[in-house]
Amino acid sequence: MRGRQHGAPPPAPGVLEPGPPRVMVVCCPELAVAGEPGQAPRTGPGARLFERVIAAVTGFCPSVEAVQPGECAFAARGPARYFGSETRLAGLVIAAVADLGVQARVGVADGLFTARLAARGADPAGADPAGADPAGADPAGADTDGASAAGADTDGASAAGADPAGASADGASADEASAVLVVPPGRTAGFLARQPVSVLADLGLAGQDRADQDLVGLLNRLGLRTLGDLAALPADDVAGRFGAVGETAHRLARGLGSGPLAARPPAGDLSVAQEFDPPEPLAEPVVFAAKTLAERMHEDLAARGLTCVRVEVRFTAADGRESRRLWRHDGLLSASAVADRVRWQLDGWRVPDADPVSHARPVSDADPVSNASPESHADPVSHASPDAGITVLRLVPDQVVRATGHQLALWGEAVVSDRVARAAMRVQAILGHEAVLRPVLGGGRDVAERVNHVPFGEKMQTRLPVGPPWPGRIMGAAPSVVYPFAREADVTDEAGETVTVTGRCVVSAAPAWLAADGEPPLRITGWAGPWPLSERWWDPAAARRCARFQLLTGDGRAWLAAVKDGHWLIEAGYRLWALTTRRFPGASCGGGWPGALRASPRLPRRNRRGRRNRRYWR
Amino acid sequence: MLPALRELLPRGGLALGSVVAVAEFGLLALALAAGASAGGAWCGIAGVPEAGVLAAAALGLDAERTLLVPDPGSSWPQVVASLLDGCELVLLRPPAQAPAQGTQVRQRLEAALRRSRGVLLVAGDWPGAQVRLQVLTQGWTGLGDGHGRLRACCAQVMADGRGEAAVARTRWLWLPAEDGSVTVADPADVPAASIPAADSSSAGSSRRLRVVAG
Repeated sequence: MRGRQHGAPPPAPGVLEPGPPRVMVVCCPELAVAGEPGQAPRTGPGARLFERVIAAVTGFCPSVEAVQPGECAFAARGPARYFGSETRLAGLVIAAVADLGVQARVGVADGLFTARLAARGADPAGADPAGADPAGADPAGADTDGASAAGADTDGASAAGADPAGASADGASADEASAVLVVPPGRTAGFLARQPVSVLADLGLAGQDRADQDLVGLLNRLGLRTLGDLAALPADDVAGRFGAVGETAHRLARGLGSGPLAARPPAGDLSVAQEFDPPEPLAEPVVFAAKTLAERMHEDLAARGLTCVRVEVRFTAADGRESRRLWRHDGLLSASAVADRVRWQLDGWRVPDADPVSHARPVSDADPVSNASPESHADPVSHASPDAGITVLRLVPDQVVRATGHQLALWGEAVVSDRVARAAMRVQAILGHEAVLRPVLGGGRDVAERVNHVPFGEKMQTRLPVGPPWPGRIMGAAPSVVYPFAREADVTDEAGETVTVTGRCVVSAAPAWLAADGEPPLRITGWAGPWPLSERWWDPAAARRCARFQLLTGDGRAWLAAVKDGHWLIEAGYRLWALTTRRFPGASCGGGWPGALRASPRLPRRNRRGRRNRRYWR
Repeated sequence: MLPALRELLPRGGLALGSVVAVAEFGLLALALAAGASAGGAWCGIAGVPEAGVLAAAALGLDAERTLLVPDPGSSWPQVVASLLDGCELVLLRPPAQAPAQGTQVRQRLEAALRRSRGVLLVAGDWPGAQVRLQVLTQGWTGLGDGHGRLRACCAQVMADGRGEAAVARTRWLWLPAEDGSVTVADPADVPAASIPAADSSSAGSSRRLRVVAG
């Protein structure tokens, strides 16, 4: 307790702690296909109807994620506030889905996993094939099943009382409430603790059925019959004994969830697209292209050491309609599994659904659509829309996260060999992590900002993109010496006055002497400029306004200088070396300089006074 | 090794396990490192926080195979020895106030160098270096009085050293040329006006030298 107080002070009263996201899951058991990976995807009335269920749910929240066929989820916090309460929103969703002739159940809870469980637990008849069977076979889980069944048999108000998890049914009618289970915030642990471990396999936690079944069987044999038993174990022991699958199961049992639901766009454009010209009226070529696209997307992600939590499948039809759907990925789907999702979405979308009332059309009427034979595909297209061919198929990885499985491809082409990595880490051990840098060439207008320094071992990324053109760069060879911090300097004309640049980019006089800090003044034999630079003026923190010059001094060296805020700064040097006075005495002096200038201590002060009189680049 | 620099060095390249000293850090040192990097070597640059990676990349340095240790501090001998284990070429600028036990440190580093069969490129003074490179004169072209821009630099580079390199060789190089590369310059093209006057005698003698050498 004491450590906690030291580590994280309690939030001030009135400040809301960011809790886990509220998620609403809409489950249509009659539309759920047996979503085993590797099994042939079921296309047919179920898949198509589910597409329309999602369209109906999208009316309440624009960003809906298809968890698996027959089940979709969305973040409930915002919509619930808009529609009054979570229960009221759930009732509206159920009513909207019921208009399509589909019976739906809704679960609302913290996190996706709990919400999915809640959606299954809200079964009025207790006939959920996923929830009831293992619970019945499992003596420890029987009380859970009994509790939910008892609660469901009575009306909504008594369900709230009978279920200690706190199923609330305020403001909902009885028949709606029986299909809704709301787990209030903070009650997740109590709700999960009574669930049998078999739900882990039913919900497909790791995407590998065999591993899930093995884990569930093992947990049962060890006497861990509920998620509460599993959650009570120390996390590191579970990870050590059961591996990655066990760790995921433990996280789920504690109500932590496998990943956030909130959408976040990835940094770069990792999407892949295929255009069809002429528009492709048949499903098979599109699905075939989707497989190739998915392979490319996986390669792109792997090359960056990334994986995506979800993948968005987008179609654009020749008549301008567009279909977008998010599918759970978690880095576990193979290319053919992504192609299966594309087929499901495509089959659902191809039903003419412009008119929401038209769902009354018998489903069997559209059945031949789902057959693989091309001639049967031509039929619905002909009556659905005259030009409903697909023009663009795009796969967009959503919620890109770092792949924790393997990092071999993180470095791109130049793989760091063990030898180099050992050497670099040894230097890091001596000097610290930030002391060993790798340069990454990026974009920008400045020589300094075009080289990004990344500590060894971190992700190589540039601050500014290389791709777009950067007008305003200084042409020609790059300077060989780029000072990490620009050096103060004084540039004066023949009269000894500081050379200034007006707001209209007019130089006050030809620069004649350059005095870098700590060096004697050098005669300027050639100069060019000013080249103005004014960038990012919209961002006060990053805004920069300066005028740049190239200067050539009498000793043969060349400099890149800039006037900024009325000060002269030397940003870089083109020198090859400094003449060694030992070997060539007097060589660095060029033409010599007036003794008064060299000796005068008043030189900087005079410059400062000169600056005050005019407006300069600032 | 960049082709233009081959003529300057004995056997046309940097000998493994040797120390090459360049009088001061600049584009010549970067060009030597870039040549090695273009050939597939890893380069470590220690003690040069102001190294112009962009200029080196234009000469062929592969930034992905470069390690920078801008400030090795007082433990620079250990840092360089560690870098030599991983990198084929290490560009080092020793601290200005070299410690009094310099000879001992140098000998230890040279032993590590022979063991790892790398190349130590020193920007500065290194007694006992196999090859010493020096830029005698340089002149930029393209910059006028208030107009133009820096285009190319013509430099006279001299190499001497011990053993095979004892005979001093002098070459005129475009460092860099207009296209950013390093090429051999023809003395006839040398912009005589921009060469420092103090060096005219030595420049003339080196021209004669080059004619003799072929």
